[in-house]
Amino acid sequence: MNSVYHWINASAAAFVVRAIIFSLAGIAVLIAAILARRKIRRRYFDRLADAEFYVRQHWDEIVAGEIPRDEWREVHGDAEAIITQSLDRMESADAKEGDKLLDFLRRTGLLDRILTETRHLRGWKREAALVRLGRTRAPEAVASLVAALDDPSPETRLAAVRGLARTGLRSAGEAMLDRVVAGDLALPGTSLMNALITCTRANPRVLLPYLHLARGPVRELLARVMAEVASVALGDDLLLLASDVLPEVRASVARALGHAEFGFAFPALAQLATDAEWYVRLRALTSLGQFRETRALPVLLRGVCDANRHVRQRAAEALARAPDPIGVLSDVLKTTDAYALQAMIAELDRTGDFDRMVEALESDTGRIARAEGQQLLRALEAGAEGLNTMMRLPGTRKIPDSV
Amino acid sequence: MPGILQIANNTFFLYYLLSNLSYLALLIVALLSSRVHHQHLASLRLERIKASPLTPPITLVAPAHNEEASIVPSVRSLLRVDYPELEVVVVNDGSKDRTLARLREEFDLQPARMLYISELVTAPVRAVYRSAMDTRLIVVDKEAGGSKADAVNAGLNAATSPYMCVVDSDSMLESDALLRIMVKILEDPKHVVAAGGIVRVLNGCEMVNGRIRQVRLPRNPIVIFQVIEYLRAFLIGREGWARGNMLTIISGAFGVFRRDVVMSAGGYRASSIGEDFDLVARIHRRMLDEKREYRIVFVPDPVCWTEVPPTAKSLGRQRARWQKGLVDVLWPNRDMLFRRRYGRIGTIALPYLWVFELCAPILEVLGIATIILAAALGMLSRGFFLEFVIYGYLFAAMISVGAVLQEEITYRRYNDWRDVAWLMLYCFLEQFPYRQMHLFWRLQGMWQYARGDVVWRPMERVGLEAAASPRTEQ
Repeated sequence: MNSVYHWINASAAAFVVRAIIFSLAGIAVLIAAILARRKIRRRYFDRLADAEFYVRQHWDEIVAGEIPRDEWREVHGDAEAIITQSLDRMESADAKEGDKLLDFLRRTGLLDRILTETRHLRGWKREAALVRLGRTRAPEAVASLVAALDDPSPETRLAAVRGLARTGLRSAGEAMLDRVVAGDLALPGTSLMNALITCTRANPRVLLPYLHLARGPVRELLARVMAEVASVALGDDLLLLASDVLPEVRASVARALGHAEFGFAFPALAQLATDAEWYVRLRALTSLGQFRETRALPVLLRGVCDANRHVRQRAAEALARAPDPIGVLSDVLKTTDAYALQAMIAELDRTGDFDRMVEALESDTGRIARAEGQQLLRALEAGAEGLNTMMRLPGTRKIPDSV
Repeated sequence: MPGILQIANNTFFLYYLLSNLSYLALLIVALLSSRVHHQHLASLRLERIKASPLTPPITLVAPAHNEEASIVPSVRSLLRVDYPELEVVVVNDGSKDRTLARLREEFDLQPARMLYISELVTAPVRAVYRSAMDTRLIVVDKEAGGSKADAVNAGLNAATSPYMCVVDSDSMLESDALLRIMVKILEDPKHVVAAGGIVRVLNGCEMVNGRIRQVRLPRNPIVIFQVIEYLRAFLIGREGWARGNMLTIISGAFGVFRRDVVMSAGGYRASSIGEDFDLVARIHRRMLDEKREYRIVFVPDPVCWTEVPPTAKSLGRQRARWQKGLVDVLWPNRDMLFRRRYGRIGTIALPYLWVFELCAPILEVLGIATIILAAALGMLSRGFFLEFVIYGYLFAAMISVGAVLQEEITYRRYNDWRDVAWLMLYCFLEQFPYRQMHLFWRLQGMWQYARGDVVWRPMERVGLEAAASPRTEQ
């Protein structure tokens, strides 16, 4: 400490003067950065707006080749605006229109221009070019984008992944998966996962071999991708994955089975509804609920008695949508589980069906025996009262007129 | 005496130097990490999160105590939040004004039949209502618990989602705020247990139908100083600390937590003064005690707009309360200091808070007093004293300008160049006399805490729409 104090006594004055100069310089640099940024952005956007206005005015003639390429090719702003316009239009275009625009980019050399940019530019300009290249969705773009995945800069790798995601092509997905599984590609955030989802959504089967090969966190990542893209297209593989060791995979299977044929999905879903992980059970019950099949009722009834609140809630949600709600309510009562009944009542209240249910039971439509109807009605009212008792609330409390 | 004064002056000098260096380090870290975050934003597809079947439900918990002026627009804005599975729980914490009546008039509240288990003990709940107009809205009417924490706990009991987000009733979430904040959670749902968003100043902005039409800087100096403070605290402080998983506070105005983690930590401590800070400290402690891998993150792009105190008097109250909250959390957790078990939280984050936040007002006053005394006794050269003051002034201004730059290169909410010019000007005006007033309020808070005066003094509010309208700033 003494040496520090000695330093302070000896050099404090000189240090403070230097610190003042540093602070002044810092302030000047920061303010200059703010002003310069504002100025540059303004100029850039003004020029871009002018170019875009010209291009929009003459779009059809440019694409049809009626305005000679040489007229706009060397004008930097115009060429940039044409690329931007083409890529923007491609995003909302159907396949035919998209092909036409891609053909235009190829014919006019604009695609080559972007490809060249991705190889020769550096820093943020290269990153922007990589994303732009991906947006063209050109199959020939994939090789350049994949090459950029080996760049030492993480920003460039991120831009390459974003570009590959924009292509949405299977080959792009496979290139990323190869590297991910080999441990050569890891990026923070959701960018990589999003890219894999986009590129494998149309064909989730691509993921299967990689899922079998992957271990540890990579497998978890792929499981989460699978959870998003799994579909019935996976067929029997889906059933195999239902007994995977990773709960994320089992949950993804449970979700995907919701879109399959009931007969195919039911045995696996019934098994997943008893899984050790609550969110796997939740997904399985949600999927079962989508079928509105009476054969799924026993599983849903077991779910509404689950120890986990969220699982009970989802099961109740599915049961409330069942074709015969009065029959379901009767079955819920038979479970003698107070939490199950309360989950059911809360769900009926949330969907606004509670009063309708009471009315139906009171009106005696002949669907059930009168005595049974009265018993259900009493149970329903007692259940609702039970909720209030648990909360120590008066059962028929009305909202005060003035507070 | 001269020897003691010399040591005191040297210590103060060293303290000031370390304080400035830590701010500079935070500024640099924040500039770098926001650059990375901004790159990730470019590949963000919110529609995908919205459409994903794996996006978990969230319950927004909004405690309200005598909020009749702002409750309706606030709840409307909460219901307008763009999120696939949303539940809004408003807790009327024994309001004596027409808060509940306003809710009833606007949202057609009906007694709800839903399970309410008092997992967390709170003041008695009188009733639970559900809106007939929008069944996602639940209102818990309870007796006043004397603290926001008690109200939030009641909301937590009623919440049915695995994630919960506490929002102040005098605040307004941007419509995509939840989707954006959930991005960080969904990246690593196993480990991320809490996420905080940015809180920005609503006063002065133009608001139409419960939505912000244009972000404008107010003309009230007290509010402008707070705009700079918020930018500094969130875009530099939070961003920097979160980088090293050392975030010790998630603003009570906007933060998402895993409900099971909050419940296992015992919910909010009803007797706490700074309940948001207290909860995060307890989560850190619990996770580190259990040696669990976890992360508490800050996400700078989801925005919550909040009404800040427009007068020095109400601001003073708020800042005194914040200081009381700081003492109230740091003192009971003093056993975490420098213990290996508590890792970076115990060795860096908490000591920083003790030295540069909690003790800052006392040390600053002592420092000023010893410097004046030394100058009076002729022990300090007048030239050096002046240079030191200039250095302090310029350095603090540089950090504030840095916060404005950070805003400018990242989120750029203040589009009008005049607003940015005003902000930069106020970076230089902040040091006298606002800083000294702030120092006084913090000392006042510590004094009140020492005397056991922890009574909640409500902030004067004009309501969201009135606060946002530039007319009220005149």
